[in-house]
Amino acid sequence: MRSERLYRALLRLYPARFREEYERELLRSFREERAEGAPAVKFWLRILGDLAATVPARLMEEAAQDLRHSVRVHARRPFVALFAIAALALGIGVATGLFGVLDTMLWRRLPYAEPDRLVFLHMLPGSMRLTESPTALHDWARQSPYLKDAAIFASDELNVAGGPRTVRVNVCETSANLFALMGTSMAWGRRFLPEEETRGRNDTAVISHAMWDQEFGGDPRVLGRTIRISGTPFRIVGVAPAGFDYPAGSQVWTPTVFEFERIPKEGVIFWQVMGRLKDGVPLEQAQALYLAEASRLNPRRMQEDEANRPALQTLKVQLAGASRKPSLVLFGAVLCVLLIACGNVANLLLTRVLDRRRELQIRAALGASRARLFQQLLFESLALALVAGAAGILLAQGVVRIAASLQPGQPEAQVDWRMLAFAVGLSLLTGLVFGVLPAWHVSRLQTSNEALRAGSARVPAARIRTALTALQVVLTIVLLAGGVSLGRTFLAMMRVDAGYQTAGVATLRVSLTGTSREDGARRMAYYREALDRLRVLPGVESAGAVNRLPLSTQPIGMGRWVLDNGQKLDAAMSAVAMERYFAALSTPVVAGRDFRETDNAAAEAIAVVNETMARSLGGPQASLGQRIRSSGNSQPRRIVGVVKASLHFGPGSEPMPQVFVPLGQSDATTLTFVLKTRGKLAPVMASARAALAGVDPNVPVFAVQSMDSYLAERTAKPRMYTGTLVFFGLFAAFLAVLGLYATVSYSVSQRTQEMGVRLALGGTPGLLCGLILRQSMPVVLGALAAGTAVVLALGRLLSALLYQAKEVTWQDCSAAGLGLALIAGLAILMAARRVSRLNPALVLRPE
Amino acid sequence: MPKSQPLDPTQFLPLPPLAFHILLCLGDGERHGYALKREIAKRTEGRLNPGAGSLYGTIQKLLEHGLIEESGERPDPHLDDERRRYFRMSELGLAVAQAEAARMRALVELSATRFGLGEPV
Repeated sequence: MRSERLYRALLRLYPARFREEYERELLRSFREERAEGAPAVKFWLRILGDLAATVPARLMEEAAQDLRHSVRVHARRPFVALFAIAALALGIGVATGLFGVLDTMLWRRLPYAEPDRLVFLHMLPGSMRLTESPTALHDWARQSPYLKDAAIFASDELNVAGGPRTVRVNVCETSANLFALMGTSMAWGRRFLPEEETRGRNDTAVISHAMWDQEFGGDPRVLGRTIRISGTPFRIVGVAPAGFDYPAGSQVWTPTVFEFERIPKEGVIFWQVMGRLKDGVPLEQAQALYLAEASRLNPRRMQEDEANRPALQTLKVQLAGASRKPSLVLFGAVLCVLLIACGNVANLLLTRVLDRRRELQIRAALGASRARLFQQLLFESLALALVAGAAGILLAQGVVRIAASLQPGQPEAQVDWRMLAFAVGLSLLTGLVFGVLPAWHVSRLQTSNEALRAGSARVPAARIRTALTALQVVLTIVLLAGGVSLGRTFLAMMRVDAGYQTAGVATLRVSLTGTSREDGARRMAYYREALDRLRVLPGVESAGAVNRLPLSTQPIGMGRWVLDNGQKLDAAMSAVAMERYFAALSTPVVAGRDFRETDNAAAEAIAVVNETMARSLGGPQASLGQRIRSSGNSQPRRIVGVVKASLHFGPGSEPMPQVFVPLGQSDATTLTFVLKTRGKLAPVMASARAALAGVDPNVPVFAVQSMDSYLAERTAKPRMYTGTLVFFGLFAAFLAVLGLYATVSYSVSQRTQEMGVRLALGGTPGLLCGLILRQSMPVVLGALAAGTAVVLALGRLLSALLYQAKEVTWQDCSAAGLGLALIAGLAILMAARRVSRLNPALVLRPE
Repeated sequence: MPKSQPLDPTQFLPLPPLAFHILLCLGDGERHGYALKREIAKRTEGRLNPGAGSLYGTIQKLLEHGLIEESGERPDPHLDDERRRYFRMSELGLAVAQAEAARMRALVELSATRFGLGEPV
């Protein structure tokens, strides 16, 4: 008996029609075969084999039949199906794209040995002591209670010559054990040897696979050849495997003995430490040990904000960086949209089912079972979802591309089987989510004559629809309030005066390292001639130069400055500038003067500070004439001017103290020319590039771009996150209002007779509309209140999206809620207005 | 499935082996499912022994295409008192079975001229 029960359960795998038609025969056949007395194992293998061979075929056949029927039904009113597909495609597409991005960023294994044991020691206090000598690092790693080994490295963008041309690439100076630590084998040649960490033996380099291909044509004889990094020769000993470019897209690696002058640096050296966890030490324990070590070394550092506080992160988390949290929040938001879309489509399909009730009831009366109707509607929903999923995959490709443009340096997600599987899985799941309710509802339809007169199925359906609408409103208010909050923050951020103008400003960068112009006098002559030629170009109003351009991603240097009397000042960013640089960026000089051509080595040493720096000197006027010197340099400089404080890192950042020194009294091998222009930018940039080539064709000119494009790059992420959330919010509101309209309009159409009676008894259309509004709005308002509570509870999540985003306030909720309530009210009134067209005499005649 | 126009039997060719065997059995008269199954197994000496799912799946298709039809429900006098569904061949089914046999014969004749015929196994 038990085996027959099992077989009966297995028969449920067959689609409804076949099962209902032949279940009795199949069971009888089962009994008869068993009575023939075959061994149990053989018998069951045969039964299961038969099921495996026939269930899929029967399912496909019935699904095809059901779908043909559905297509005919939906073709009569294609809007519902098209709308459902569009809404779901958007949800599934964006979710799939974001899944691909997150998968690449967070969940996929990194191509290193045991990547989960590789950790990044973010903001290790006193990391400079590890750079005193190679042994300092190894001694520290050896006695560490949580690390097996550690590597220290720094990277900088430098000129590299060796192939046919000089290229500008990221060069990483590292302790010799970096590749061994990461478990990376060379594609060609060898890794660094431990003895290459000694002076005189560290003239070796490993190049990236990409550089090997592009600069050396994949020539295996590349080993032993010499490349020059900023003019210093290195011997190539290895080629890294394809795709390896850690850290920061490095193309060349060299072992370091921490001789900073050997390769002239253009930026600031920022040493980073990576380690491999000791065997048996779990990550949490290592994190606790690291924090204990960090707070022992520098307790003050622990009070810094999250970006500057010491933290032990897995390499994966470090690589994902600041994009991780926003991507997760956006993923949550898009799942919210998808859920709303599901609710909406369920609602729509339910309406369709109610419209089709008579058809379905007649089919039921003619013998179609509940299971059969349930199956048909479920197949319909799954098919809709799969079509939407297919469209969604196309959309996902766009999402992936946008994400890649926003996160340079991150590996770009590819549409692969994991993304496809996610899309198909999500489509099936959404199909089930929005399909089950209408299907379940249909399976409860009565087949009696009484039910055929309509009405009996309305009550539970109305409740389901109200609940679905309320759910959508709740989710919508969450997204809308989030969008309002982010939008408000973003607008406020963009309105802040950055202290410079970006419109109509062109920039070009040059690097003299490794060229014949590198040395003192020739260097100055180059800059002077270049600036003179740029200034006379047509369309150029004003031209200057600086070594650290605001908004660019050049590394900056913070240095200690002291007053002549020994008083220490806050750490300030130093920059080297040429005269009229401030004018070119429209940064006002608030006190004193700008640099002059005559501020050279022979003249008195001077400096210009910004307002933020001047504040610690007693204000702009009081700062003038004071003498400051950098802690590393004993030459005092007289402050001759104070300029307006500017946001070096762009909107959303804080102004920081800055000290500018004239180029004539300092040195810089890399400089960015800044041109304020009239008219079109492109021709000015082209002629400026030509002018620089005219000064010396061997000096590489790069980063030719407008300040506006720097600004766009800097604000791309917040703009994207804000734009996306606002769009999701509005789309959700659109879906929710549409759902509300459909619900009310359906309920009004169901109450035609009641409305007719009310009109006949003296009610006016206005009164009836008011009545419908009064009956419908409480659901909306209740859902709004519930949604607001959810937002305020979850609001903190949003502040993770942008550093600058504040928590969602009740004002944001009110704004979003009020807006939503208004359009909801309008939608209800529009749905109710058909009451005014009712003719009581016509409505009541059948009664 | 009622069809207004007479169907061309060749459009069903080639018939799956199980479908052809079912038509062969029904050529002798009405049968119920289990009798069909036993007869096919016996006729092919066990080489074709369809499972219930395959058998009724094929029966369903033959019914849908109008090659067989149901001839009512009654007990099998040889087996037990349970009522069983009996099937019989339709005119279209007969025409299709004949067309399939002709197709096979043509194949057999062609094979015989090319490489002779072996002993039946």
